[in-house]
Amino acid sequence: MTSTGDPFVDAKIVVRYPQFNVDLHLEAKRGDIIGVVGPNGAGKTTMLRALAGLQPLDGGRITIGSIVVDDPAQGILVAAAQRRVGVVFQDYRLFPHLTALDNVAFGLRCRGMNRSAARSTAAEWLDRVDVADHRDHKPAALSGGQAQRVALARALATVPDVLLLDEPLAAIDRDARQRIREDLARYLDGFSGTTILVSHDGVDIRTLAKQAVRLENGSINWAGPAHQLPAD
Amino acid sequence: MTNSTTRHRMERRGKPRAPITLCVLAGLGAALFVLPLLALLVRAPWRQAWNIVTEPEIRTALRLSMICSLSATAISFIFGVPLAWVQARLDFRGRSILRAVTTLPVVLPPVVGGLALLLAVGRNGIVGRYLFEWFAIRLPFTTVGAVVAETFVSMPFLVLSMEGAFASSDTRLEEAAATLGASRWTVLTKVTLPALRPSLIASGVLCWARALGEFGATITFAGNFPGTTQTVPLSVYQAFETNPPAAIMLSLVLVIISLVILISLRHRLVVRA
Repeated sequence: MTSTGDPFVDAKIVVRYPQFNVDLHLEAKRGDIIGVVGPNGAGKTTMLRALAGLQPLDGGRITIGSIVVDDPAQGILVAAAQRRVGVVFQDYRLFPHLTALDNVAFGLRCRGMNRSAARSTAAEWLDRVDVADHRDHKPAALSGGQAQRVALARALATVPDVLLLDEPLAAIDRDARQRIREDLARYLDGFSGTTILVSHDGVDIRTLAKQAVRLENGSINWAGPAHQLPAD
Repeated sequence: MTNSTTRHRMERRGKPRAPITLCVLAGLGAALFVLPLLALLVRAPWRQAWNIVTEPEIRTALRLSMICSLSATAISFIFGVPLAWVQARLDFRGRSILRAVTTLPVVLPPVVGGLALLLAVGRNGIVGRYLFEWFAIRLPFTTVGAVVAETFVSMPFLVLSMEGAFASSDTRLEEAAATLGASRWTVLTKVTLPALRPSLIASGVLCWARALGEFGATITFAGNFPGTTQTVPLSVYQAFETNPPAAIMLSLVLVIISLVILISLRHRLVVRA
């Protein structure tokens, strides 16, 4: 990778499937925005799930900060809830029974903040991602772009060390994509942790990421500055 | 030309045409259920209806039925929802046997259930004798016993229905909650159960309806004592010999409650099954 010095995220990810294996090594510093590009089935989602703690490793080791969060050889596996990793899922996964505000407040409540403080912090985050007007709406009443912003606010509100975004623009209409991509770039700029962003679209990577890697068949076959990412 | 006109007309009418034999058989099948219901309505002593349902013994039976069936439903929620979760989500040896045992009362004759309950928690039952010796708890022939009998018969319906709901519910939201720092208990109470609220309501109502109609296990295990264990179905059974008009009116009360439940929930129950 382009990073120098000790990496903040050091992930040697080995996950075996009957038909195919993921075997890759990713390093990132604080403040890095790493774009991961690759075709469907390349292992992008497996990589994110392993980092988030939703997919245990079969081999390798993941270190975040100075903490080993997954090391099958030593029998270490830190559960998703104990990792400081925020995720924006491709399908957002907003809680349908909660308002936008309570979706964002959810993580804060889980981390021990009282109800009123969690709600006011959540309101600030919704304001920051420009959906303050929709705070009392349930997810079903939100557009794709609004839902994505709420999902981003929900992930960022817990102030994670690592932010993972899985195809954040895939569910956005073509017409709105460019504008939402630019807004997303602005929000990510304000995040001080490590960002790892997955997309099958090279345009997203070049716009949003600083560094890029390309995955194919479970391993990295290209790494470099995002603006040099070759077109497919 | 003719062909396309015909097709056009059929599309406009929009209903599938069924073979006549099928319709006749279906009609006869439906008659099996419609006729008895009709007979109840025809023979019901409508003029004395109000007097009958406000008779003290009848009111006692109705009140007891409500108390017992609602208690059985509450107990079924407390123990049945966790049981359904365990059966749906945990992988362990003997799971299929546990599933069979906990849903056995759905197909078991309730009188067999009542007998088995007597042998288990009756006065001389394998557990019941100690309940009595150590805590002076006696279940048979008490209202609590009627609740136990109703729970035994009705909880499996809640377990069955909630197990299906847990098994097919979306774990993606649970994953999202975990990445936000939610403990397993928080995930269950704040995400999984609220998302399954419609199933919880449907299962609870089904369970309550079954408890309300319970007869065999109750009369076997709890006996038939007015004011203590004589719920509406038992009182129908007794009134059938002594006071037929009252038996018919009480039956109608049960029929109406059950019909309302099924009409409001059928789509949900059938889809979940």
